[in-house]
Amino acid sequence: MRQADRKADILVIGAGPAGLNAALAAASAGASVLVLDENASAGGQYFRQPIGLEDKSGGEPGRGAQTSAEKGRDLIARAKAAGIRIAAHSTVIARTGEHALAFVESGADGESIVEARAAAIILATGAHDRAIAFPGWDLPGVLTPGGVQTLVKSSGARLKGPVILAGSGPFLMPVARSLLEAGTNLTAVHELARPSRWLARAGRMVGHGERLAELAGYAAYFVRQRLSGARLDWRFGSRVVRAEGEGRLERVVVARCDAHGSPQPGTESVREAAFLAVGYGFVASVQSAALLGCRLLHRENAGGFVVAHDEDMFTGTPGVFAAGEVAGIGGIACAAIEGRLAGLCAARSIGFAVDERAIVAARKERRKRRAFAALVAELYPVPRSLYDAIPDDVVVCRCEEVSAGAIRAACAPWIGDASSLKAATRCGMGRCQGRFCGHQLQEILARENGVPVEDIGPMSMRPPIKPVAARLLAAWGERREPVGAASSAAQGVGGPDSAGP
Amino acid sequence: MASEAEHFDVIVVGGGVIGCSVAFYAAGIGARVLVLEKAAFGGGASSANPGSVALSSKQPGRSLDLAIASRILYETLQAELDADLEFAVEGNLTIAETPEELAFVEDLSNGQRLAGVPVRSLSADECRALNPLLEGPIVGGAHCPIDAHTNPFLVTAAFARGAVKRGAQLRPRVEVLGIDQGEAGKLTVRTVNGPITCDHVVNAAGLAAPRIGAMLGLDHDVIPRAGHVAVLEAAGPCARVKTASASQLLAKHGPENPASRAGISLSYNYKPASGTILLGGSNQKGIASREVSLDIMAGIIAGACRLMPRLEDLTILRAWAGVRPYAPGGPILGRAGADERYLAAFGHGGDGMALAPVTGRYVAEQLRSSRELSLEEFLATMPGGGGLAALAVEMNEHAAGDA
Repeated sequence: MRQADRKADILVIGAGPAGLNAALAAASAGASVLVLDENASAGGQYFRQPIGLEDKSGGEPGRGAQTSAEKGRDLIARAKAAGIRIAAHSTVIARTGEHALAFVESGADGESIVEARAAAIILATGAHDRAIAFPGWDLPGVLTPGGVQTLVKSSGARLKGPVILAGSGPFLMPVARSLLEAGTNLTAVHELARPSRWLARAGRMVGHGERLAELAGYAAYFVRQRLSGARLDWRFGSRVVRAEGEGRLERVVVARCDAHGSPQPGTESVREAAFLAVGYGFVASVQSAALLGCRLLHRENAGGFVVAHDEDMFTGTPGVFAAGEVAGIGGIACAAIEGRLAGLCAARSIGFAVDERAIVAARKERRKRRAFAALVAELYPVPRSLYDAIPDDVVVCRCEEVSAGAIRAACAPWIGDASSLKAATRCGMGRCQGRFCGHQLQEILARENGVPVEDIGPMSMRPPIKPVAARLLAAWGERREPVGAASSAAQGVGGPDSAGP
Repeated sequence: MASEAEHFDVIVVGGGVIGCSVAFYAAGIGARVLVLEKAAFGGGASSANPGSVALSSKQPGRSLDLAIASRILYETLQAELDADLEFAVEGNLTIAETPEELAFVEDLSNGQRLAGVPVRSLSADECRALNPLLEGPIVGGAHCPIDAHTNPFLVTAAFARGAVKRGAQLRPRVEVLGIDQGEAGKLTVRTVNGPITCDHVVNAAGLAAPRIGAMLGLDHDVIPRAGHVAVLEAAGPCARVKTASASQLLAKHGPENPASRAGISLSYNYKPASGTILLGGSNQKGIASREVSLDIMAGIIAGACRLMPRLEDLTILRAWAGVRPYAPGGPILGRAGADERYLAAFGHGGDGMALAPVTGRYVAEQLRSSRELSLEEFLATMPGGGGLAALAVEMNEHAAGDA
């Protein structure tokens, strides 16, 4: 990438549905846009592109609807046609100025740290699986739904042996479909939520026909699979109790659960499995937002701590907007319209002329999408009992090997926030910086102290937000001027030419 | 409607390692103690430091005397607090990169030796023998085998737990708004949750200490000094001895470090309990921001890699910045010119973790005493440099036993 490519009017972090739509909207207003994405190619989880097949043209024959990868390819092509620069393999690590971020770029000649500067930033960093510890969750062969979908979508890996999918949320449906289409022996899906929750909310579903049709489409697909002889066993109101095996996953113990997610005595059964993917919805990926000092607030069942924002997706941090799952889990359609709204409003905020009617229309559509997302969140609640049920001897923080018992033992009334408990236990201090254990520590402390998770706050997140090789930072340090006393952390910004070699 | 305000013998303002140590020892002499912390316990400088319990970084005089007494207290602190503090005696190696720096280290070491610290001058080769990662240009150094390090989070938490066990109350997120001198010698501490009365206020508020002192008309001088540390994932053979460049001491004790005004210098600290290397640091005088600057972090890494090139192969997990509450003449302890109702315990600079035990003891002794107890009088009751000789002998015996 050339030096000039690192400056843009608008910098978008994340090239998923929200980020790509944000980029397109901003570009349509005349802004120059640079999109960074840490994955090997643009698209995000929903539009995940197969690696090495990016130039494959045409859809798969014999299928009516476009696959999500095809839709994603179209969107990426439109973005590129609009002059938007998309940098894959680009991992944000730190903030270097008001609207400047340092990222690790990996190119043909290796990795280096470079700086991207813009007048406004749009955070579209998405979310990651909400994995909740249970006995055996650290066995090889136990994955998350997002992880297993990435495996089959990006590399076409065929998992050998029986696969079980479990947890909760509408995401299990596309993952199940991805697994079946990849030729996997998916034997069972254990969805903790019950269909009865749908009936209780039927009235509020009016007006969301398009979204319901997508869900119905999945349901019809699984019925067709069943009719054509697939032996997929889809169970509602049940969950994984534990995973077992010698050195790797061999068996999964499942049980029917009551309305609070607690297993009902006598309903346990054992299923053979070589792979198990368990996830209870998503946790917003707010690390970049934290770098930029954005305010986070807690959204139960919709991403945990998410980026706070107003109706124009403005975060309150000057020049910083957010869109999609990072602003609260809402699904693909919600991410797309939030991206568009954020793109328009970010462009407007830095002086580009934007048709006000387009913003009004986007706001209106967004409200509708959010209403449906709120409904979905109610349909697939994450029972707090899942956190209470983590046995003391089960490791919660896999990086630092901290058990639930060690976390509970360190809790005290005077430890009032997640960061203090992190400090006392080392939970969240490893490579993943609490991405997978953070919500578990928050929930455990909230329960022990009898306060809402909102009061516990998120764990501190520190740069570099992803591990980085010391030699890359040393090289960055060597080519900078000596740091002056006037260069406080807040002002620690290099000159515009200092980012390049 | 006059509801009776709560009353305590002692209200400690500030829930860092100093405030928690004060609470532990004050509760130990039977005082009813309340600790008020405006944010989170141990959330300030107490959790943003490498846990150094060192003597070789201290200037001879009051600062070193305090450090010696505290170092001896640390020897039995884990038993006293019934907690694993990850206390490890791995020694400290100070390295000089220029003849001028070596002269400074020699001068400092001489003073420390006079006070009883077993610090030994080393040639460049002897330094490399102690820490084989040192491949960059050095001219010599000094080694203090009894310098130690600990896990700062565990120390603060153990003092807090110990204080609670002794009946102290700890309240996070309670900000002090004002202190009124009421009738009958009582003080009224006004908080966001209402007034609380007490006989004594201990100001252990760190950076906020001047604001608390001003509530009683006192003028305290505490200057922020920000410092950065990068956390590396340890892999391969790691030298256990803590290794710091003399420029770090110059940044700490000197007025300004001309080579780099952020005071960037090497401080290598291997933490076997967590499998990490803490790499410091910076000494940004007058800076109170805890935001991490990538440039300073990178400057630290670049400098460290010049002296220890093999660090280049490691991975950086995270970095943090903390703010040392620095008082120009050393920590402000005791009555500090006020009457017997007020006790100061702040301004430890970068030495709060090392000096927490002795600070807590001194404040508790002052609370127990009916008259003003000078720090010198108090230190005379503690084992001094003579006590270190015993530690050093023990160390040598260990070493002999291992060999």
